[in-house]
Amino acid sequence: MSPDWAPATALDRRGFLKLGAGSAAAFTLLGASVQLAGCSQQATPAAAGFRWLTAADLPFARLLVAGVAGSALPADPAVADAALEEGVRRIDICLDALGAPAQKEVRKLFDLLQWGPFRRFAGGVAKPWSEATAADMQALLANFSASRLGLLNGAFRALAKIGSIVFWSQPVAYPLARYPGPPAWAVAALNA
Amino acid sequence: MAINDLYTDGLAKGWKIRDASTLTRDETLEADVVIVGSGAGGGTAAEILSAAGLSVLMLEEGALYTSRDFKALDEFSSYSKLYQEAAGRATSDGAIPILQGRAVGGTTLVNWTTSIRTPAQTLEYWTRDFGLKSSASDDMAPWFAKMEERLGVAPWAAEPNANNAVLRDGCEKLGLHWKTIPRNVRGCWNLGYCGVGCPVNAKQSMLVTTIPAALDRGMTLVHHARADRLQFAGGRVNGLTVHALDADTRHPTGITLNVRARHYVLAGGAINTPALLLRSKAPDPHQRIGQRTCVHPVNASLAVFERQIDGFHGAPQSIYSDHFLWPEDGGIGYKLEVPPLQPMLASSVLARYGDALAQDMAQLPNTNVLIALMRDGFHEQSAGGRVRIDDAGQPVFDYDVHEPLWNALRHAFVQMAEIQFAAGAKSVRPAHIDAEPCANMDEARAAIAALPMRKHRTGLVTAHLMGGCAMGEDRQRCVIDSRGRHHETENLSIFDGSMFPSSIGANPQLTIYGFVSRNATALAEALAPAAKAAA
Ligand SMILES: Cc1cc2nc3c(=O)[nH]c(=O)nc-3n(C[C@H](O)[C@H](O)[C@H](O)COP(=O)(O)OP(=O)(O)OC[C@H]3O[C@@H](n4cnc5c(N)ncnc54)[C@H](O)[C@@H]3O)c2cc1C
Ligand code: SF4
Repeated sequence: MSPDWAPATALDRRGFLKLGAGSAAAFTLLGASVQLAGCSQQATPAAAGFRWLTAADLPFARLLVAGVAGSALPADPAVADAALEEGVRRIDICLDALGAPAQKEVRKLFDLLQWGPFRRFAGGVAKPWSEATAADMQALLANFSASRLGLLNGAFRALAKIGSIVFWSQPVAYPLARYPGPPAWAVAALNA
Repeated sequence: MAINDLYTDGLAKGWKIRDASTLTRDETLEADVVIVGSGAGGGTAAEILSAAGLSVLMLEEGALYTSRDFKALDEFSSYSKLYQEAAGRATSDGAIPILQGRAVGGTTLVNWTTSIRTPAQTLEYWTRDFGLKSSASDDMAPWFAKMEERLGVAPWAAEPNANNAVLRDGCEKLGLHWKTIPRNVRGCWNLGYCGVGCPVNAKQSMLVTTIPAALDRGMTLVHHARADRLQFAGGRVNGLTVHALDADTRHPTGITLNVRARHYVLAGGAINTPALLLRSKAPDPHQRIGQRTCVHPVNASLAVFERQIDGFHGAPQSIYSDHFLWPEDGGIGYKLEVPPLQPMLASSVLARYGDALAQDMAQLPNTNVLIALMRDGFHEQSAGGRVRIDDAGQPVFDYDVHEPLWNALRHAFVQMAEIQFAAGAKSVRPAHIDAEPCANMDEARAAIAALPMRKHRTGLVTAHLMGGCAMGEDRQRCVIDSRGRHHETENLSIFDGSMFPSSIGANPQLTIYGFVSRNATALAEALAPAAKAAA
C-alpha cells in the first residue's frame, strides 16, 4: 500500500475543498481515509443474489434509481418497486462488467458515499442511505453537479449515467419517453 | 418470417467453432496464423488468409451471438452483452465514455454502418509525418473498392429518417456541404437498431460476411477466449497464452490454451491490442506502444422540434457534413453526423436526473441530436491519449483535452445549433452540464460563448478508437511498418484500428477494411507463395 494517504483521517469541509479541482490524487486520498476509518468494502463479498454490489451498496443503489427516475417513477407502488428492483439488478450487471481499474474507482466512490463526513460535506446528505429519500439523492446529485471540483462533476456524470441507463432502458419507462418500442410490423415479422 | 441463421446452417455443415468456456482441460492449438480478435481487422484478415490456403485460428474474448439473439431489439441486453465493459468503458478519468464492441464480429456487430473512405488529406499527413509508404489515395482506391464490393457499400437510397434529415435540411438552408452516407448493408429493413445487433443479417458485419467465408475454408474460431500474453524471443513471437473465460465472459475459468503459430496477427482493436503488447513486454525501443491513441472526441447538440423526429427508428446514419472538417486556418476540424435515439442511449448522454430528465425524455420523439466528431491527432497540442496497463496488466487509457480541442468543440456547439435552428428547431441545448435550452441563435451564441469548456462539464463520448500502434516507416515514431508488420518482430502483424498514426477524420471501418485487405494480402503472399502461384 502507498504511504502517502496518512494525512486525511478526519476531513473537514475546508480540508476537503482544498483538494484541487480535478486532482487525480483526491479520490485516492479520500479512499485511503475511508480505509483508515474502517469503512472500506473493498474486500466485502457481493450481497446474496448479486455479482458486485455489497449489502451496504444496495440502499444507495436503489435510491440512485429512484432519484434519477424522479417523477417518471410509476405511481403504482408495486410497479415502482419492481422498476427499482430491476434497476438495482441492472446496476449490478453493469458494474460487474467493468474492467478492474474502473471497478476500483467505483468502489472508492461507493465507499466514500457510505462515509458520513464525505456524504455530508461533499454531498449535503446527513442521513445514512438506509434512512435517506430520493430527494436526498437528488440533493447529492445537485451538489456534485454544481461543485467546482472536476472530480465530483465526474462522479455526478457517472451516477447520472448509470441511473439513467438502468431506468430508461426498462419497458415500463417507454411510454414516458413516448417510445413505441421497435416497429410493431418488424417485431411481428421477426417472430412469425 | 424466419431469418436464416447462418451459424445454425454453418455448424451443420461442419464449421469449426468452439466455446472455450466449456473446456475442462488445457490444450495446445497450432495454426499457420492465429488472429486475436474478430472485428473489422480480424474478420477481413481471416477471409484473405484462409482463402490463400493457410490454416487460421481466430480467438475472440466475447461470445458468439447471431441474428436470432437480436430479435428482441432490446437496448439493455445488447449493450450489456455486446460491448466492452457492458458499454461502461471510459477514459481513466471517466471524462470520455467509450463504446467498443466485444463479441464475434467485434465492433462491426454493433456499428452504425457508415462506410466512408479515408480522406486524402489524412493519407498525405500519415505519409509526410510518419513515413507511411504506398498509401496515397490512388494506391488505396482499389482496396477500398474491393471491400465496398465485398460488403455491399452503397449510398443509402431510401429517404433519410427525420433525425438525419435535420442535418441535410439545415446544411442545405445554410449553404453548407452535406452528403448521403454509403452504408454496408444488403436488404436493410430500415429499422434503426444497428447499435444493438442487426436481427435480419442486413448489416454486412464480419459476423455475416468474412467470418463465415473463412469458416467455410476451414478456419477454427474459438470464442470466450482471451489472449493474455505473447512470448517474445530472438526477434520472434514463439507462443501465445490464452485464458478461457466463463459463460458470461467476465472471469477466467482457469483453463489455458497455448497457441503456436507461424505468424501472429493482433486485431483486438485500439486499447486492447496495445495493452496486450505492453502486458507481453513486446520490444518497444522508442516507447511508442499505446501512444497517440485517438478517439474523435464527440460533443452533441440537442434540439426540440414541433414535428415528429422519431430518431429511434430508421437507418441510424444516412447524412453527414464535412463542411467543418478541414478548416482553412489549418486548425482542428470536425465531421457532423447524427446518432440513433433509442431511450437508453439517449438518456445516457443527457447528464440529467429526476424531473428535468423526465421532461427531456418526454420530448424524445420530437428530439434531434447532432454530433461533431473532432479530428484529433493532427496537431501538436492534440496528439491523442495514451494506453498503459495497471499492475495486473489491465488497460488504462489516459486522454487529455487541450485548448485547441476545446475551442473546436465550442465552435461545433455553435455550428450544430445553427444547423438545427435552420432546420426549424424550437429550441437547442448543447450537451453540457451548464447549458439550458435556447430559443434562438442569438441566445445560443451567447450561452455557448459562456460555457466553461472543461472535462465532465462538457459532455463527451467516443465510438471510434484509433491508434496506439502507429503505422509507418519512421521507426522512432511507429510500431509497425506500412504493411502492418511489427518493426522489431518478424512474425507479428497488427491489423486493426490501433494501426493509425492519428484519427482518420471519417468513421473508421472502411479505412480498417482497406488497409487490412491490402496488408493481409501481402502477408498471405509472404506466407503462402504457393497459393499465389496457383491463383
Ligand atoms: C456504437 C458504434 C457505432 C459505430 N459506427 C460506425 C460506423 O457507422 N462506421 C464506422 O466506420 N465505424 C463505426 N464504428 C467504429 C467501428 O466499428 C470500429 O472502429 C471498428 O470495428 C474497429 O475495428 P477493429 O478491428 O479495430 O476492432 P473491433 O471491431 O473492435 O474488434 C476487436 C475484437 O477483438 C476482441 N478482443 C479484444 N481483445 C482481445 C483479446 N485479448 N483476446 C481475444 N479477443 C480480443 C474484442 O472483443 C473485439 O470483438 C462504431 C463503433 C461503435 C461502438
Ligand atoms: S437499420 Fe438495417 S442494418 Fe441496421 S439493424 Fe436495421 S435492418 Fe439491420
